[in-house]
Amino acid sequence: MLRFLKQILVTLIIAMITTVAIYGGYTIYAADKYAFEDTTTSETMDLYREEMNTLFNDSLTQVVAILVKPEEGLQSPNLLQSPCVATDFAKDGGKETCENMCRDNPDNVSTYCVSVRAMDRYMKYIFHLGEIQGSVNFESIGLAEMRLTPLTDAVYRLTLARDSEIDAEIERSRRVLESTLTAYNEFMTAYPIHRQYQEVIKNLIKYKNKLKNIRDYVIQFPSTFIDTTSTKCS
Amino acid sequence: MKKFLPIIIGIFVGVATSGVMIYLDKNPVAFGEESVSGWENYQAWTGENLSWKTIFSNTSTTGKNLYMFVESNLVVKPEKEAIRTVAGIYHLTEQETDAAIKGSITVLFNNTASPKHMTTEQAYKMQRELKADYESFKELFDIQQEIDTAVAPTEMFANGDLQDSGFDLIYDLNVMEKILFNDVTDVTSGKPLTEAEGNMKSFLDAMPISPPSAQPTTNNDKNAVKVKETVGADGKPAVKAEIKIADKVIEADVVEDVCPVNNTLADSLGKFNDQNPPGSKNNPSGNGANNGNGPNAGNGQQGAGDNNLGQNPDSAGKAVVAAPSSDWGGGFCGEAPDNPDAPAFVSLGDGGGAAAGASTLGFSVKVALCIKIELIKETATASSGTSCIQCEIAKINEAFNKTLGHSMIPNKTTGNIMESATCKKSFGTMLDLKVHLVPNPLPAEPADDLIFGKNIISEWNKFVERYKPYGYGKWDRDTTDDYALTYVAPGTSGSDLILSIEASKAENFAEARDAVTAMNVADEGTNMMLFSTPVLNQMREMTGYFKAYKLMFEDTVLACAKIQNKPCGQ
Repeated sequence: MLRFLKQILVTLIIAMITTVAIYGGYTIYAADKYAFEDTTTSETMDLYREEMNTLFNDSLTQVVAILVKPEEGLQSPNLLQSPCVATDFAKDGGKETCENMCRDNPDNVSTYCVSVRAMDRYMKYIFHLGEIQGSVNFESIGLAEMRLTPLTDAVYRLTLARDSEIDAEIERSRRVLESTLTAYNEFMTAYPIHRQYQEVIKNLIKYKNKLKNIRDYVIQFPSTFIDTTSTKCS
Repeated sequence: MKKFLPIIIGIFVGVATSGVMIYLDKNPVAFGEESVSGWENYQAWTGENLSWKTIFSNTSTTGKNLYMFVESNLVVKPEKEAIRTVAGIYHLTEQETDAAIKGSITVLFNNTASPKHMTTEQAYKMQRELKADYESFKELFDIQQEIDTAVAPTEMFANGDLQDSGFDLIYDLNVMEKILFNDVTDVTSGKPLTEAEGNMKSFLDAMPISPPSAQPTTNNDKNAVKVKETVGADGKPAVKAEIKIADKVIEADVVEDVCPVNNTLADSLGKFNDQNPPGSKNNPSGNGANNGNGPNAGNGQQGAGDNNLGQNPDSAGKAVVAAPSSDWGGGFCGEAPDNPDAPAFVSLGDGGGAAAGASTLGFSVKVALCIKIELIKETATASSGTSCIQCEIAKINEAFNKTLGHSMIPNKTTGNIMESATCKKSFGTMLDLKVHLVPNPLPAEPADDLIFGKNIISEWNKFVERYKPYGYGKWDRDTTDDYALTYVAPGTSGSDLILSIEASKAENFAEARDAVTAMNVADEGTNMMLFSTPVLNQMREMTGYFKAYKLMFEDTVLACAKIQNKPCGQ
């Protein structure tokens, strides 16, 4: 019985070690890959769009969450600001340092940091599209193309069309990224000011109400003090 | 072997477990939570459901699907429109057109509209033409969407309109202005046509009544409504309504047509003319104002009397009578009188009204007075009432002027012994109330250059990029060529050398372009920070001052109460 338990224990320990080794290796070397890096042309494009949409959704949600809670948001504006200023970029290796600061701090949702993350995805995306471009296009072959002789001619045309589509995709995804970052930047400029305006308006209303209270008293002064004659005075 | 069995089993279990974990870890979206995948869902998202308004107007989902929307604007919408147009030209479905654009000729062979016995060359020619047409249309739609995408985000947060973005900085400033001065300066830049102006235009277009100069009114018109165009105090056109009830005339601004006219009296008269041409039995004279082009009410009524009611024995003497008050709650409003399917009276919902109707041969008229009832709950907002900070200060000043402009000495008190009580000059200043106002401006940071200035690094980059001083660019190329030519490996051919130089240049160029792009992006972020940080700091400081003043005012109120309640002589 003891021997049997010992064998089970050994089995479990070996299983744990194997799992840690394989899964650990995967998380270190493979998990950094985005989903769109392992797919074919059309799937890659779809997954990339979803990936980018998620990035901006999460970032904007976090911006709003920070700003809606003044005690957290306005007291910690560093999460909404770039970790570097222009002089930091001018230093040797400053660009890489600043980019790594953004990568190391996922809570920073400044336009710069979001653009760094978006650029990471974009660069991997166009790299993967470049890899696809180097391959022959068998995806788009239909029945009509199969009947053609030579088949290589059809495959060549389809590959050219696919490669042309990829070139166009690289260009248009860059434009989309730029436009989205512009909109994000505008939001990042306007929304904090709007929140602060709300705070000013709230205090202005209180200020006005307090002034009104003073006016309620002061407006009675003429009848109280002018030509004072009171029966209470002796 | 038995000895290693637990180890082998353990390895298998470990491999299986890690395999399952890796499989489960493979989320379609690498670092996100979105479960929606697939092109169909993507298109469903981006179809016609998204707009700048839907993205930014909801506080709880602010910015959601921003990327999808921009992608849709720049890519999907122009593509869809272009594909739809080309599909119509070539008699293909949109899916077939899409496939043909991507190079497939199968769809062209299968197309019934294609020529019979089409050769492969002809199919490829058609495919090229189709693609050229597609490119041409797409370029047009691209321009349209690019303008929207480029312009909209730069102005939608500061154009005075809450409808397109959910919040607006100009609107916030208007609210502050209202609180401070009870007045709002009209913002004209970036503002769409206001609803009021739109309503006014549609109101005037539908107006069957001409200016009062053309309206004959008699003393018998006990109850009447006249509408006239005037010029308002601000110099803009305005419409006034004169409501005459018995002997009283009430003048009011016409702001909104609460009772939309679907089928005006003019239309009815116009139809009457169409159906009964001049000289016919029902319209013997054929004149009058019922020409179908919107005659005025006065003429219309007059015309009706002359042409129809007056001449038609069936209708003569039938006066338009008011509906009984029991019907008022269910009066009609804007219902087409000539619609046979429509009920005679349509409920007004929350409103009420009175309606009257008369019907003669070939002519019927309904008149309704609609009353729109709204429950408005007064809330403590900036716009409630006429109170404002400047107004309060003015009233306080006025009260102090009254108080301080008179002597504080009681009437019966004399200045000196045996003097009259009216003479108080000798000690008039001994008992007085003085209020000192100490102006205290809000100090601001001397950081205006940071707010309005530009980032010097980015300006320098632009300068270098534009003018290329000191042979910038040329020097680098020479260096590359010199290096490659100087350190050439033995046995290298001339063509290899040229290719090597070109590859090296391309690599350097790509690297430089990447660096410049990254720098530009960084500068954008820095500029934003330089702009917004001082503004936010100053606003925080201003808020702090207001808070401090608020506390000071609370103390002042306490002092005022004590002064007022202070007994005489103490």
